Amino acid sequence: MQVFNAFMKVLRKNLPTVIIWIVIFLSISVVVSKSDSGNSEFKSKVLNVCVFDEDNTEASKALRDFIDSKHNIVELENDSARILDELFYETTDYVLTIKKGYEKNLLEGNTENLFDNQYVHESYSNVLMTNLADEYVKTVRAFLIKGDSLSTAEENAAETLSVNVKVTKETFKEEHIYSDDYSALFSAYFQYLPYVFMQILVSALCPVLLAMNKNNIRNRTNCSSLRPGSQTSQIFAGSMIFVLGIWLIFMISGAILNEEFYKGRALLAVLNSFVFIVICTGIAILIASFNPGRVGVNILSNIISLGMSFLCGIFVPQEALSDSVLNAARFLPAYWYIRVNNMLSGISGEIFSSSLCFKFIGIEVLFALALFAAALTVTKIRHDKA
Amino acid sequence: MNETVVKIENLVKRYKDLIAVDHLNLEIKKGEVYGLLGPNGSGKSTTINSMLSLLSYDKGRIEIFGKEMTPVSYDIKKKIGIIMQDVAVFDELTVYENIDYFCGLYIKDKETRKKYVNDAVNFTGLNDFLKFYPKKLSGGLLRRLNIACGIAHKPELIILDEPTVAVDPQSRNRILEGIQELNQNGATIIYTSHYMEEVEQICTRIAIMDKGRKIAEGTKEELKGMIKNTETITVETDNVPDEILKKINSLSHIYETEQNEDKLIIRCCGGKHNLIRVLNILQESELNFGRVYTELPTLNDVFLEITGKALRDREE
Repeated sequence: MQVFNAFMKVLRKNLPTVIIWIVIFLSISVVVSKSDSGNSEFKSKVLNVCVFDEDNTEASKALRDFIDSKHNIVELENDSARILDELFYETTDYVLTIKKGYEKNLLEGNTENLFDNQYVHESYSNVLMTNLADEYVKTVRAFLIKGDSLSTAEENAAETLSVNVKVTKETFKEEHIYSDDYSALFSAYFQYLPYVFMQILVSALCPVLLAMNKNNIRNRTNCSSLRPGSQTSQIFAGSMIFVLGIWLIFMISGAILNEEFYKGRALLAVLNSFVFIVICTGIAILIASFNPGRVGVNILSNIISLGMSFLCGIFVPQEALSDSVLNAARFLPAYWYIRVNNMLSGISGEIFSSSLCFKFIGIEVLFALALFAAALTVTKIRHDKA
Repeated sequence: MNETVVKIENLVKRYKDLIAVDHLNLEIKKGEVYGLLGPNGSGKSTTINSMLSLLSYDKGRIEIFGKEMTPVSYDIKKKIGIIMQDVAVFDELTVYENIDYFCGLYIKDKETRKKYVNDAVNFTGLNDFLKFYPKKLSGGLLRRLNIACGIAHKPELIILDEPTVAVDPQSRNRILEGIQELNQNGATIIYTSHYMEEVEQICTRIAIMDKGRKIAEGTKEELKGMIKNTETITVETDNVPDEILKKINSLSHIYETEQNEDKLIIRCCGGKHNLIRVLNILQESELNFGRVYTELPTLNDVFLEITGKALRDREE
């Protein structure tokens, strides 16, 4: 186990890089999970509204009461400078003046120019309050036309407009037995895993493989009584232990952060991530086979991980990418990983289908095999040349 | 001394059109310090790599310890220690870990290995640097580490491929003394170098190689006896008149004179008192001259006479 022990000792020198990546990723995941309160309901915005009632009738008072039921009424002096200050500092969002003759005009059906208003230009409070006042007036008029008395029309209008519509934010999901097993948090966690896997494996595993396969060290080892098969299998064992260790750390951390263990669709995400880390191992071995040196490894790890992340939908959702980019991304394994993840979480217009999901994972497996085959070929050519 | 450790018969190694080793025959006996001397590109390292089965060869046969050497001759490999031209150690492991790693490729038993590693550390004088990483070592210490990694398992045959390249004189002497000590402890040594002084200093038998061929073989005395030159007299003077040169050339046992910038080089073959006779002529002719010195032939003279070019020409 001499080669295996040396592999682990060399790997130990690269552990700080690994630890930094793990800490960064898990810290971000913790922050994201804590910031997600789990409440996805919308709540109506309450504005600070000042109402000046110049009409001072039953109708204008009813309107004031209606506004009070929806927003905060603030009392202000009718001083233009003071009002402008209030609006500027946003302590008051909207100033409504019910003009003299409001009740009379309402009964006669003249609904134009009933109010004066002051607000911050192009603010949403303007739209919100103007619409509310207009809607109230129109609704009262509708009940008056129906034959209600003014007071009854005002009561009915207030009641009608007080009906709240419950609005909830939903992501598209097809009804499926696994639909509740893959939360948005799981989805986000697995979305960014490929980037971290690529960074960790290329920046930590590559240097170890480079050290173990340095020509002069390999020659010296080949001169010894150690069989080449034993040497290769010990390096393979070391690599697999490292890769599995990294994968397990992220799977266990994922379960802890999400406060539930994997089941249903989440298990497919786990399988997807395992296949992808095998792909990353293939990438690391392929890069190491070219013997690019430490600096080369750092450059390549950034190019590959960032390039694939931006092209394949890890950092930018696939639906936001152009068709030409997506067509090119099909030739990269991360594209298929993200498609599986999108399908599992029901985002980016993907509809879950287990057969399609396994097909995409199968494509990833083919990528892994191709990478390992390429790495072996390059290694053999280089050794033959040496 | 009679047991043959290495036997190479008719070895040929080609790189496309280039013949790196051309029908080479060698026989190295137990206990020898055998020197392979030749300029860069003469085929020394190719021969070594073929011996170690790191390279396949086109023709010939290599036997080590009486058995044919193949890539799977693990029983033979166990008895060989190799010190490569390039330092072959892990930058990520300490001095101790490096020696332990390479020793562990041969010695499985932990206790024995520990003892062997300590012996190698003592032998190379690396005791104070055990926890150092190779990048922190000087060139000389790094070479010593390279040697420690190659000899820690106490091999019977040690192959050193230019182990003193880019090493300061002090470290070089220490390395050469160490090699002689290994030989005294019973190891057979194969030493390749293009530094003739080193080869002369430590090798009991020498093969001179050029263009993949062995052009001469023997002890240093035997090699020097193969050539005409027995003594070279150098006189520091310039523009020696032709009549004086004629007088010197007419002396018996002097076969060549050469005016080289401010030096007159006179080559002799046999004879006694050559220097006194030359000095007499110089005095009689009242020629101004500086230092006069005489040198016995070197391996460079052997190489020069056999190939028509100096060893150092190619080195540079």
